[in-house]
Amino acid sequence: MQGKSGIYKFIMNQRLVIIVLVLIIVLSIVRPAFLRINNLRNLLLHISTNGIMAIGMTIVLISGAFDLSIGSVMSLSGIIAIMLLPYLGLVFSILVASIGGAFCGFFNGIIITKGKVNPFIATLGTMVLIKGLCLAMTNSEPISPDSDVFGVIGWGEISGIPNPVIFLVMISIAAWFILKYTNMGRNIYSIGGNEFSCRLAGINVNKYKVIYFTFCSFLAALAGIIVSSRANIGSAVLGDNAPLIIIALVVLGGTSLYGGRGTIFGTILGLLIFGLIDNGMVLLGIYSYYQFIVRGTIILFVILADTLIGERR
Amino acid sequence: MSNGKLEKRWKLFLNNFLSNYSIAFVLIIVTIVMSVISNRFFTISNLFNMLRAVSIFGIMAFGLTFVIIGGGLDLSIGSIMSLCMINVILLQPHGVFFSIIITIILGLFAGMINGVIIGKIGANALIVTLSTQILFQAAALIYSGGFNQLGDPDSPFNIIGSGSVIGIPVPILILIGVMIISQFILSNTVFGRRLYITGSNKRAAYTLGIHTSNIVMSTYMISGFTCAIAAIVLSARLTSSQPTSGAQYLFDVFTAVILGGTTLAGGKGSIFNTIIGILLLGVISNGMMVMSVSFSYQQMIKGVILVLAVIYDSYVRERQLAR
Repeated sequence: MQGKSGIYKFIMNQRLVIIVLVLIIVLSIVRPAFLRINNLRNLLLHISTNGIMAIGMTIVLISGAFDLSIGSVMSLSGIIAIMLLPYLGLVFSILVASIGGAFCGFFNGIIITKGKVNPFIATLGTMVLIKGLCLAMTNSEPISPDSDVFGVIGWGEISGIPNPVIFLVMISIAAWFILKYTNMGRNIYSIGGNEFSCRLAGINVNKYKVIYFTFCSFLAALAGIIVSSRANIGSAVLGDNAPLIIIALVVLGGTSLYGGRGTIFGTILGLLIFGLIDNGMVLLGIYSYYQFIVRGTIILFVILADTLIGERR
Repeated sequence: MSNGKLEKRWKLFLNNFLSNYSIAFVLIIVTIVMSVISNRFFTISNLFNMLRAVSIFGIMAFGLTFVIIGGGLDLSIGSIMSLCMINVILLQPHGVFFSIIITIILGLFAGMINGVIIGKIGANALIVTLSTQILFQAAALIYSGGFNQLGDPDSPFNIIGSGSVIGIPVPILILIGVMIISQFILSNTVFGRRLYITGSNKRAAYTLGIHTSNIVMSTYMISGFTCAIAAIVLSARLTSSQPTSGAQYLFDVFTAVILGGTTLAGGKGSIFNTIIGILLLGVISNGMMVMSVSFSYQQMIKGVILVLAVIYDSYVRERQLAR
C-alpha cells in the first residue's frame, strides 16, 4: 500500500514530464518524420519566442501579478527596431528597441505599485495604449526593413543551432539561476506568497515588482525583435494572440495564478507540451480550425485535472 | 455665518460626490469638453448614434457585471457572441422566431459550460474561459466554414437592428430593457443579494447555506445570455455575421465594466457603475469620431484614458480609506 501510494505520488508530481514523454513516443510511432533533425529543429524554433516571453511571465505570475501587455510590447519593439535600422545600424536599433520595451514594463510597474492599480486592469490599459502607439507609428500598415541585415537575429545559427533557441536556453538558465540563488529571486516567491508580511519584513516590495515587470517586458521585447526578424516585418498586430497563449502555457507548467508557486522548469515543460501538440497536429495534417479545438480542449482538461487533483489533496 | 456653514456643506457634498462617483465626474467633464470642442457632439441625433454604438457591448457589459460581482471573469464572451451571430444568421431560413430562440439557448448553453466547470468543479475562471474562448471561436469558424454569412436584407429580423419604436432605435430599447432587468435582479431579488455575498466571501456564503456553486454557474449563464442578445442585435443590424467579429468587443466590455468601478476582486459593483462605464467609453469613442481622429490614435487615446481613469479611481478610493 505504501509503495503504491509512493508510485502514485511520483506520477502525480512528475505528470508534466510524463505527458511530454508520452507525446514524444506517440508522435514518433505515428509519424516517424517527427524524429527527423529538421522537424526537431523546427519544433524548437517554433517554441523559442513563446518560451522567452513565458519565462518573463512566469516571474510576474509567481510574484502574484499579471501582464497582459506583453503582446503589444512585442509588436512595439519589432516596429522600433525596423524603423531605426537605417539610422542606427543593427546593434543600436536592437538595443533601443529592447530598452523601449523594458521601459513599457517599467511604466506598468510604476502604475501598479505607485498608482495601486490592479495589474489585470493596468496592463489591459497599457496593452491598448501601446497597441495604439504601434498603429500610429506604422500608419496601421505592416512595415518591412530595407536591408537583409535584420534577418540575422532570427535566421542566423551557431554550429547548427538557430539563434532563437540559443537565446531561449541562455535566458532560461539565467532565470533559473536568479530564482534559485539570488535574493531577488527568492523574494519573488515571498512577495507572491504574502505581500503584506513581506512589507512587514522590510522587503522593498514596490522596487522588486517594478523590476519584475521591467524584466518581463524586456523579454517580450526581445521575443518581438526575433519574431519581426524572422517574418521580416513589423506590425501592430504581431503579438495579438501572445498574452493568452503565454499565460495558458505558464499555468500549464504549474505556476499558480494566485502567486507564490511556479518554476522555470515547469514553464519549459508547459512550453514543450504546447510545442509538441502544435507540431504533432501539423504532422498529422489536422485542419487549422480543428487545431484550435484540440488546443482549447487540452488546456481545459489540464486545468480540470489540476483542480480535481488539488482538491483531493 | 450661515454662508460659512453652506460652504462647509457644499464642500462635504463635493467630497462625497468625488469619492463615490469619481468616474461619473470624469464622464461629466469629458462630455463638457467634447461639447465645447465640437458643436455637433451635443445633438439628439448624435446621442442616438452614440447609444446605438454602445448598445452592443453595453448589453454584454451588464452580463459581465454579474460574473465579476460573483468573483469570476469571463474572457469567452467575444467568442460566444461570434458563435451566436453565425447561428442566428444560418438559422434564418427556418424562421425568425425559431432562430432567435435557438440562439438564446445556445448562448445559455455556452455560458453553462463555463459555469459548470468554474462553479461546480471549481477550476480557475481565467484559464477556463481562456480555453473555452478558443473552443467557441473554433466552433464559430467550423460552423460557418470560415466565411462571412449573409442574411436576407428584406427579412423582418432586421427590425431588431435598424428599426425604431416612437423614434427610439430598437437596439437602445433592448439595452435599456436589459439594464432595467439586471438592476432589478441585483437589487430586488434573493439571487442578487446572495450573489453579492458569494462574491465577497465565498466560504462565508457557503456556511450560511447558500449554494455558491449554483450562484456562480448562473452568473456565467447570464453572461452567455447577454452575449446571445448582443449577437442577435448586431447581426440584425449588419444583416450578416462574421465568424470572428465578437473578439473586438472583449476589450470594450471589460473596459466598460472596470471603468465603472466594479472591482475584479468580486462582491462589489452595480449596474449604475456599469452604465457610467459604458457611457464614458461611448462618449470618448463618439467624440473622437466626431473630431475625426484616425483609428490608430483612437486606440491610443482610449488606452491613455483607461489608465488615467483607473489610477484616478484607485487614488480616490485610497484617500477614502485613509480618512
